[in-house]
Amino acid sequence: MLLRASSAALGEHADTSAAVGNTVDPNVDHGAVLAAYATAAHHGAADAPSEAAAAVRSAVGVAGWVEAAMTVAAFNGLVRTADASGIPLDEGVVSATAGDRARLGLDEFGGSANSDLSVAPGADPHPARFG
Amino acid sequence: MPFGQATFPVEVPEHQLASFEAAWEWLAQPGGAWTAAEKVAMADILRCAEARPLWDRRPATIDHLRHVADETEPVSELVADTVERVAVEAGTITRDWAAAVIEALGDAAFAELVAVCATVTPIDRACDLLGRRIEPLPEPVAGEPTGERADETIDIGAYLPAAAGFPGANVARSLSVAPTANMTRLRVVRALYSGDRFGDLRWDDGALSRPQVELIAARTSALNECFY
Repeated sequence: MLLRASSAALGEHADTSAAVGNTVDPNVDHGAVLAAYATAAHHGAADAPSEAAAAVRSAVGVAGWVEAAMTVAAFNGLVRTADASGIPLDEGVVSATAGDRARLGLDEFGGSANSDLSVAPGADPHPARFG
Repeated sequence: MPFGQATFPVEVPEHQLASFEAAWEWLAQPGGAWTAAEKVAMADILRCAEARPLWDRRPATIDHLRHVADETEPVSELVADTVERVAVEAGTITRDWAAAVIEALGDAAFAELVAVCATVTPIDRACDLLGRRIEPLPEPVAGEPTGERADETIDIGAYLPAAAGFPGANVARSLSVAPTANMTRLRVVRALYSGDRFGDLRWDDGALSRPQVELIAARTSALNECFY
């Protein structure tokens, strides 16, 4: 949801299927390099993502690479919090993400059992509601 | 200062390093439900945890996991097993399993255990990805748990109750029944991800745009099979 919404705020249209690796071009600046880095960081041991990291540094600079690494790190903490605590999707998010979830197969993830998914699709809630 | 700038091979924003320092100080102190030695032991188990095939798991039901004091181990079998599950297979945790563990440990104790995992994991990953050594765990300070638990809680449909009146998304208040633990892990996550900009769809003050960050976040979450 935030990928699509933040891209739209820039007048762009990110391809959200990049989240599950189903596209070559996510339609985000240097998106292919960044998605490849996230994938390498997930699968690799300490030095495995080095080639992907070099590509990120070349594309967005060292500071961009640090931000990319920190984002990967942050979301490795968040997944454990979300799954271990069993939180449901927030109000408005179930309906706003119904289309993307179905298209990307996200409802197959185990954590989907914690949300009532029988809500009709709707518009994106603003992220400020979740901060 | 274990996370001093000089210990990193590249420049890391000061507020991120400060969040790491605060997390390590929290880990070294007695918590609301656990002693510092127990928290540090959990972090050590977390670091050693590896995914195992189902046939290689220890007893599958918590009825077989002892939660009793044992002078030979810093934490009980049940605590060790729970940390391992949160570390490597959090997506397989079910409502029934969580309810049984929470009944045995207490809700604030379970929340604090999860907070240890959710705090140490991103810090370790950050160090690892930036080519820095994993920071040795802190020396635990002696003392008894404080007994801290949110005064009033509400049901948000999760395994754990949330502190009444705690603002933000469910992921922000998910562990708020253990207030200090929740704020510590939130500080780390916010420092690494959005800072104070979460409500802004345009980020113009960093090296990456918001769509670039959200693409990495979405890819990482999908790889972890994180539904939320």
